Amino acid sequence: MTTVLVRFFTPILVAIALILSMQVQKVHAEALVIGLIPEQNVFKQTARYKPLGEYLQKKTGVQITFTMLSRYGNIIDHFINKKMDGAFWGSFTGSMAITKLGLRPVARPLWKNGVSTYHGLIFVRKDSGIKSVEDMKGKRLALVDRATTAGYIFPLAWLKERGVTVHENYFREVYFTGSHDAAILAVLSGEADVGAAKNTIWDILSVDNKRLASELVVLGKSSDVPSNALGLSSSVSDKTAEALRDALLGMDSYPEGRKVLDEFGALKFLPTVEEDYKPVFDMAEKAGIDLKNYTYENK
Amino acid sequence: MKLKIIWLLSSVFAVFVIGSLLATSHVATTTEELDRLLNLHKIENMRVGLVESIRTVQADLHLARSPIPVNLDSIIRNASHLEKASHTCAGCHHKPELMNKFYKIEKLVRDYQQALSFFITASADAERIGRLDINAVLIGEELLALTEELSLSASGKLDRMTAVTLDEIKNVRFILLITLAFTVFVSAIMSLNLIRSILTPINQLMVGTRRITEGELGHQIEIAEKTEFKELAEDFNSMSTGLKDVYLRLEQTNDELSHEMIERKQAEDQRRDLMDQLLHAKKMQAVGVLSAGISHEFNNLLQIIQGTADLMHISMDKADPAYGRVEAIQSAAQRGTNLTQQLLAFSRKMEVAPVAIDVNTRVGQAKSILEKTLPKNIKLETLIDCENCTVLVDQSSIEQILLNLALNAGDAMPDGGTLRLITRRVPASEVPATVGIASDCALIQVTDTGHGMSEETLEHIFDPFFTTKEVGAGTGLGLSVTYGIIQTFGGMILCESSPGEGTVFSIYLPLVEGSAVATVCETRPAAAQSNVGETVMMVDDEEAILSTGRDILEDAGYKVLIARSGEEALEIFKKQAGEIDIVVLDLGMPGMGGRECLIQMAQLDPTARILISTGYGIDGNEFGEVELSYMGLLPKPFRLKDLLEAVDKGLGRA
Repeated sequence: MTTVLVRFFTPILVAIALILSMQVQKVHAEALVIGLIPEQNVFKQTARYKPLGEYLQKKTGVQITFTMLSRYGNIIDHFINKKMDGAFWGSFTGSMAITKLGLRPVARPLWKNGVSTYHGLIFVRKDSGIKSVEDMKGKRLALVDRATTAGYIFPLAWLKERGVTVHENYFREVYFTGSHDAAILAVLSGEADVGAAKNTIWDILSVDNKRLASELVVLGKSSDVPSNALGLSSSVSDKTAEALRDALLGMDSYPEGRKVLDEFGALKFLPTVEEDYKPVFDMAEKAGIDLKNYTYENK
Repeated sequence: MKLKIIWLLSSVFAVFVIGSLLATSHVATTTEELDRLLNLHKIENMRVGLVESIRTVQADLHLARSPIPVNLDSIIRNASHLEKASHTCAGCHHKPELMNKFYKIEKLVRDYQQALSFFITASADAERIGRLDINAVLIGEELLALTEELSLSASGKLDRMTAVTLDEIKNVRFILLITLAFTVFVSAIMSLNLIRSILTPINQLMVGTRRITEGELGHQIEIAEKTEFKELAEDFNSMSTGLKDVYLRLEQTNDELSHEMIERKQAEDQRRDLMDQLLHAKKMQAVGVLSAGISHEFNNLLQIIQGTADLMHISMDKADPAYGRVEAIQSAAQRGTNLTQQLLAFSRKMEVAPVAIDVNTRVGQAKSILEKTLPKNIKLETLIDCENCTVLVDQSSIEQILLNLALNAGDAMPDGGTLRLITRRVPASEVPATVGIASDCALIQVTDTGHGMSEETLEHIFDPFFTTKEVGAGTGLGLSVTYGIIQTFGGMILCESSPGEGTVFSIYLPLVEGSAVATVCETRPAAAQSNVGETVMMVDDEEAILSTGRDILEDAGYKVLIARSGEEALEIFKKQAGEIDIVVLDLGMPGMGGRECLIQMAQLDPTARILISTGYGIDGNEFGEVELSYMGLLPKPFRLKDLLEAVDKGLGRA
């Protein structure tokens, strides 16, 4: 009789214990606010990251809330004002945050083309007649943001390499679109004559908009820098950080994770450390930017 | 019935199912309408939300331009709602014009989002920002205008569909009611039919059972419908028929038992009657034997008295003072002789001479005598109805019987009455068993309307010396003699009587064909004559009789030889063969007795003449086989002249 009771109740008690432990784990799980930079149209960017956030929340039990930033460069301030716990940083903002805030890089995507990096592009309309820096003089330049590698640091460095040290005076108008797709579309639509943006957004737009390939031409290309990676504040517990890293790195092992990766445009996530940002540090140096003391304000 | 029940229940179930399906179908239709209506309302809500979102976004737009726009997430959320709503609307409407409009809205939403994004994220001079602002606002306004236009169209359709759906709901309610009512009605009809199908045969069975209980066995039930009840009714009918058969067999058995009981009772009565008859016969036989013995003994005594008195009378002078006393002795001896004769007649030991007589004739003759004899207050009626009825009886005896019975009847009717003489032929089958005659009989009835007799009297009515008359009015031998005579002729007399209801004497005599039988005895010789020295041998064991007889015969001139037993008589008969002319032989003697002696004498000398002298009567046929030249009878006690006349007659001189 006792054996029967033990056999009958043991699995039930174990199941109850497991459920209770899971509940306890979730109760004690943290709620994180993760920022997103306007890499592209803020609505598209939000829609793109939503499935990833849901997946991470489901896998780790950590409540993930995304918040969209209107500027790349304000990210340091936003960390404080919006009480953010982490963000999918751009390579430049990431480098800045590592330098200024001691941010911990966690993971970055490996894109479908097999790379985990991106590079900047400088492009003009084919019919603009612009073929060199010289042709750009007096034209309208559409940059992305002062805190972007592809949309600011790279074109600045690229221009400086070609003798243009004060670009504000070289171009008739220099303005910041705030997002890479806006810069590309500005040149395509004729709102600007020269544009700078990252190749990953160029590739995404090219899928739906064939005019990019036919009407625009790339004049310059930067070296590769790390893709937008998830970086967490030092206030985030090691346990949570570890759980998030494990969830991201193991996504490609699960069908559900693979599906989310596919929608995201990636094959998997790779572990990312501070050393991966070296090209950015180098490029900043070329552009004459001291990351530690770099301050700017978008107008 | 099982199939019917299953069929009916299935039908009821089917009706319910059909009704339910109909109702469900209509409810489903209505639900669909309601769903569509609900969706329209949702769409309307979405549209309202969409408009609200655009307006909110428009309102928040400039705030988003701040360095740290706290409402950016809200703008993104609202703008995302716009996209979702427009996408949903486009997915539902399939009319080309509507689809185009929704595609246009979708495109506008995308453009709006892009314009908004560009406006929010751009850092440029005021002119460029203003352009981006105007671009976004214009797209938003266009979006609002297009949404409002669609909203008007949708509202009209919503109103129409609401009206249609409400009508449909009304219809569904009506159809549901009708379906429910029809279902209930059909179910009720089927249920009633089922109940009736069950209750009707049950009632029939109950009525049938009650009728059988009330005794109407064999009652049959007719159930036309081929159900289990029909089988039950057939079993019931078989049971009813079986009960009836059993009852009839019981009744028949009962009748048979009753009949058997009656027969047994009749047989018992008959047996008892026969037993009574047998006992009576035995008793009468015993009384007869006793009477015969007494008569024999008395006859011997009377013979001595009579013979002695006769001898004294002959030898005395009339002047002798003792002459009259001897005559008194003679008279008394004669009366005694009469009595012993009657006793002999009762005991059937008297000599008879049966002849064939016609019953009607003889009864007619008796009637003539009775008409003169009976008192005038007695009416005599006769019913002579026995044609060709011939019986063997002694002529004088039958007359004596009839007169005896008639006079007794007359005595039973002192105050007058009716005496009936009836004769009729009774077939053998109708002859009562107690009579003991197996052939056709002549019945002679003598009935009176007198005072009748008690059962006790009836039991002793034929006993000798039994009489209900006063002392001296009768000897009590009349009916005994009658009984003896009828028995002698193979007949039977029965008597039925009860006090106050008269008496019926029924005489049954077996009928015979042909003429009279030859008589054994002849008329006695009229008188005796003096002898011529012939030898007479007297054989008797009574010395007094031998002495008296020798005296009488020797006085008459005969030579007398004496033998005191049969053996002695034979010895003398052998020694003096041819010398003895006649033998006077007593039958009742010790030793070989008179009968054996007679037979041996006849064998020794068939020409011998033998005069049988006996105190018993003899049957006329008793010595039918004996051949003698003469055989006569001299009943004891005989008188002097009787002996002499008998001897003379035997010697052929009479």
